[in-house]
Amino acid sequence: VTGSGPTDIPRRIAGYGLPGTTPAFPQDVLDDETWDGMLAAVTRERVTGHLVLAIHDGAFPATEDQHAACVDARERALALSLMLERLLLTTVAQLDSMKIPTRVLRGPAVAHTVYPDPGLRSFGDVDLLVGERHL
Amino acid sequence: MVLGPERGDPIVLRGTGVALWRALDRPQSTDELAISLAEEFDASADAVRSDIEPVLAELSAAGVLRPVS
Repeated sequence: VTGSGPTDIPRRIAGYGLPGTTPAFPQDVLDDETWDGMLAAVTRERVTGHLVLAIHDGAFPATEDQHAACVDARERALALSLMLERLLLTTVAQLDSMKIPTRVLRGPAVAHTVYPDPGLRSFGDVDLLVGERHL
Repeated sequence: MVLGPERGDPIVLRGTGVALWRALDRPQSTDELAISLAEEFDASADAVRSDIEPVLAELSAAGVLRPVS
C-alpha cells in the first residue's frame, strides 16, 4: 500500500492488520475538516471496521468525538451487512429448497472466508450466482 | 451487534451486554448467568439479574436465543 496524503488514508486503512503490512498513519489527530472528509471516504470504501480497529490499537490517533463518530459509522455499516446477510441466507434457503444451486460471491463470502473477523468486511449489496437455466 | 434470523432490526450490545453475550456460549439458567457476571463485575447477583433480564427477553423475542430443557 503506497501513498502518503490524506486522500490515500482509506487505502492504507484497508490494509491495516494484514500480515506483512505496516500502513503509515498520521502521527497527530486530524483536524475536524480533514477527519470528516477522511471518515466519509472510509465509509464510502466500507473500511470503517479497520479504522475502528486501528484507533482501538492506538495506531490511528483520534479524539473521543472522532472515535465515537467512527464507531457510529461502523455500526451503521454492520447493521446493513447483517440485514443483507439475513436476506441472503433466506434467499439461498429458498433456492436450495427448489433444488437450485447457488454460489455466494464477493462481500459476504469474502468476509467469512478471508477476514479474521467478518465484521471487518462490510458490504452494501450481495451477489448470488445462479445458473442461467434457472433464470 | 446481533440480528435475529427472521425479522427485526439489529441489536447493539455494549458493555455488560457484550459480557452477557460471551457468557451465553453454553446453555445456563438466568440465575447462573447472573452469578457469573456478578463475580466478573463485582456486583450483586440480584442487581445483575435485573439488568440482564430485559436484554435476555429482547434477544429471545428477536429469535437470537431459544430456551433449552
